[in-house]
Parts: sequence; C-alpha cells; structure tokens
Amino acid sequence: MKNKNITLIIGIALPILFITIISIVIFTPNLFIKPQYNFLYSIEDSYYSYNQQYLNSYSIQNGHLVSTALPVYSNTKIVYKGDNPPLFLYDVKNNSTHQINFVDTKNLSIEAGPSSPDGYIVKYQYSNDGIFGLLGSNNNQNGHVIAKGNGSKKLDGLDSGNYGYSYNENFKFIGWIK
Amino acid sequence: MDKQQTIAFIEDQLAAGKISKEDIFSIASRGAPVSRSVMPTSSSKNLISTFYGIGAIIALIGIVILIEQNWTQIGFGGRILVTLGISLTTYVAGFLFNKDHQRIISQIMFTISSALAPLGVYVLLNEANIDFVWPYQFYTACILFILFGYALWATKKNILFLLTIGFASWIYYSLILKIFGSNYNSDLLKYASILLGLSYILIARGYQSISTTIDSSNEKEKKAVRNVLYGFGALGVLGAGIFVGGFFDLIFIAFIFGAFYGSVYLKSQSMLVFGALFLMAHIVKLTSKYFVDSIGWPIALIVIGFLMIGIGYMTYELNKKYISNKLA
Repeated sequence: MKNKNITLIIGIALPILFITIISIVIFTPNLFIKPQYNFLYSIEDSYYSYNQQYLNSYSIQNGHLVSTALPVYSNTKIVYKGDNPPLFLYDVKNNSTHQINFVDTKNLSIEAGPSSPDGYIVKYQYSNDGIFGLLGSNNNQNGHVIAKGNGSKKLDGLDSGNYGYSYNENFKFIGWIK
Repeated sequence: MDKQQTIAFIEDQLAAGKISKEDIFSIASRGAPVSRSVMPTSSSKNLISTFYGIGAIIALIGIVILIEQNWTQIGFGGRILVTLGISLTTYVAGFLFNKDHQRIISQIMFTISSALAPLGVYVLLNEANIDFVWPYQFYTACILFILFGYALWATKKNILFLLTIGFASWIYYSLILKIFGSNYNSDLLKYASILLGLSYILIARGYQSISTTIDSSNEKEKKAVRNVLYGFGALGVLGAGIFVGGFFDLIFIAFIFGAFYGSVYLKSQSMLVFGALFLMAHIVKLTSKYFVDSIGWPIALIVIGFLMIGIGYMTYELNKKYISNKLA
C-alpha cells in the first residue's frame, strides 16, 4: 500500500518538478539582464505604407548621427510624409522611451552596433501559438526585447506606441549611446 | 443443521424480510467468480450505463449545435443559460444523486458539467470581448480543477478523478506554454508530453491505493479509470516520443518494449494496443528513413507487411496469455 502511495506521489510530483525546473532554467538568465547603454531608434516606413516615405533617413558616421537623403524615384509617384522620420531614445534602466529632436543628438557619441558595448542586442521575438491556438497561447507576447545569451527582457512601449506601431518593419534600430 | 434445515431457515428469513435476495447473491458471489444467475443484473447495468453515456453525448452535441446555429438569436442570456447554466445545474445534480444506485447518473451529470463549463467561460469572455487565451485559460483550468477536485473529495465518484486530472493537465500545458513563451522549442513540448504520460501511468498505478471499498461495481469503475489513464499515459509517452527523432529513435525502441512489458505487468490492454500500434509506426518510420534507399520500396513494403502480421499475432498472444486471462 505504501509503495503504491509513493507511485501516486511521484506521478503528481513529476509534472510539478518539470515546470519548476524549466522555470528556473528559462527565467534565471532573465534576472541578470541589466543593460547599461541607451539606444536610438526611429519609426520609418512600414511595408504597408506603399508609396509613402520620408525624404531622409538616419545613419551613423564617425560615431555621430547624421541625416542622409533617400534616393528619389522619378517614375513613381511618392507621397512625402516629411523631412525626417520620428526619432526616439530608449532609456534601458527605466524601461521607457521618448521622442527627441535630431539636433539634440549632436553631442551624443553613438555606436552602430548591432551589439552594445556590453554585449546586448535588440531583436523582435515571437511567442508560440500553443497547440492549435489552444491551451494558453497568446500572440500579445510577441515584441521587441533586449537580449544577451539566453536571457531577454521585453522593451515596453515599442510595440504599442502613438504611432500605431504594430509591425516590426517600422522599427529601425539606429545605435547605442556611449 | 442439515442442508434442508438451512434452506428452510433462509426462506423464513427471506419471507420475514430480514434479508433480501441481493444479500444472498452478495454472499454467494464473495470470493468466487460471478455466477451465471447474476449476469443479467450486470448486463442490464451495462446497458443502462450505455444509455446514460449515449444520452450525455447527444445532449452535449445538441447544446453545441444550438449555440453554433443560433448564436445571435438566443442572445447572451440564452448562450449563458445553455452553457454555464446547465453546467452549474448538472454539477449540483451530481451531488444530489447521492444514493448508491444513482452513482452512474451522478457521474454522467459531473461529466456534462465539466464539458460545458469551459464552453460557458468562453461565451462569458466573448461577450466581454476578451480572447480565451492566457491568463484566462489558466484561471479557468484552476477554478475547474478546484471545483471538480472538491467534488471528488466530497463524493468519491471515480469519473471525477479523470476529470480532475484532465483539468490539472490543462493547467500543466498552459503553464508550460506560458513559460516556454518566446523560448519556444517544440522538442521541449514533446518531452513535456512524455513526462505527463509517464505521470498518468504512475498516478493510475497509485490510484489502486485510494481504493478502500469492497463494492464490486465501484472496483470495476476504478479499474476502468486506471485503464483509461494507462491508455492516455502510453499515448502521451509514445505519441510524443515518436516525433522527437534523431538519437531518440533508438531510445524510443526501449520505450515501445517498455510499453509491452508494462501492459503485462499492469494488466493493461490499452497500453498493449498502443505499444503494438507505435511499434508498427516506428518500423514504417525507420524503414522509410534508413532502408528504402538501399532496398527499395517494394521489398521494404513486403518486409513491413510481414512484420505487421507478426506484431499483430504477438499482441494477440500476449493479450490472451498474460492480460485477458488475468483480468477475468
């Protein structure tokens, strides 16, 4: 009888133990995600904004942000939305983002990356859809993260901003602020 | 007291109503195989259970069709009434049918309740424009696990053991998928299913220890519950294991023979059947993966065909020699 009780207890404990172990393995690296460098990004034209674009884009030259003119297509009618796409600074310590002016970046030293000086990268991460979309899946888990090794941390405010940003094609990473 | 006197005494006691015919049948069948004279009672019980089961399935199908076809016509009130309303009513009815002879109908009520409850929650969330995804599925599974776990504790009905394990498995998968999240790895999900299958087998084995009754029909139900768990356990282990691939293809052979050994050791026909089916599937998989290029499909099919016949015969013999005889 005692032996059978043990099998019952082991049977119930196995899934609990499995969940505990994979939680530790998956979540522990996330605890050590402590990036030091803020980064700049812009919201440019998405795949869906057909025949619409800005006159200029951003790039890094000699460690500084510069505005570079985009090629003009003579045989296609382009609707220009403005001179430069909106520019943002992401504060990694406070996990917040705010728009800045191009002139405010003049004194900033910027590294193009894609890795930060302390080894982090910004990437878009997809979650799973579960089994046939059932059993607790949620697409809202998709989004941009800052990651290093096996650990990652979701970047708030990037995937539901005032700019209606919902497709990762809009996001253009520019560089890390040193 | 000689034989005639004993029979006369029993007849007197029967006439006086001090003992019933059932008591005599019960004494006669104790420790011995069930005699042919009690078979009609057993078969009529089976017939009633079958009718109950068919009735429950028809009612559930009817409810699903009613909601699906008349989603807008019956309105939110109607949808809630036929899902959560019936679920709640049948849950309470499961408790109210508490007499010994009402055990089967009580279990049918709990089964209907368990099937309609998630549908009712879906209807409720849909009205509030909330997707039935994490964390709502997790909360639903937890609440239903507690409700049906309580019913199991309070009524000791065997079907509730399966239903509670079903809701616990829902919690397990929703947690696993949440934890995997962006670190999604389908192999991990396969290993999680193998582990859950193993867990079912161990729980089924341990379920015998909960059995405290000498009631034969209750014991029969417990056996059925164990067999269902053994079956789902084997399906979980073998069904997920066959898709892992790579080096695991070799380990999987040990799993299949483990299922054959387990089926004899645990007296489980469902485990034996799944062992045989997955052995056939694995032979087809390995042949098509490693041998078809060298021997060609026609010879491979001939070999596979004869191997299938061999496995079928071996399964039949194993069942006859070690399982069905021991179950009788």
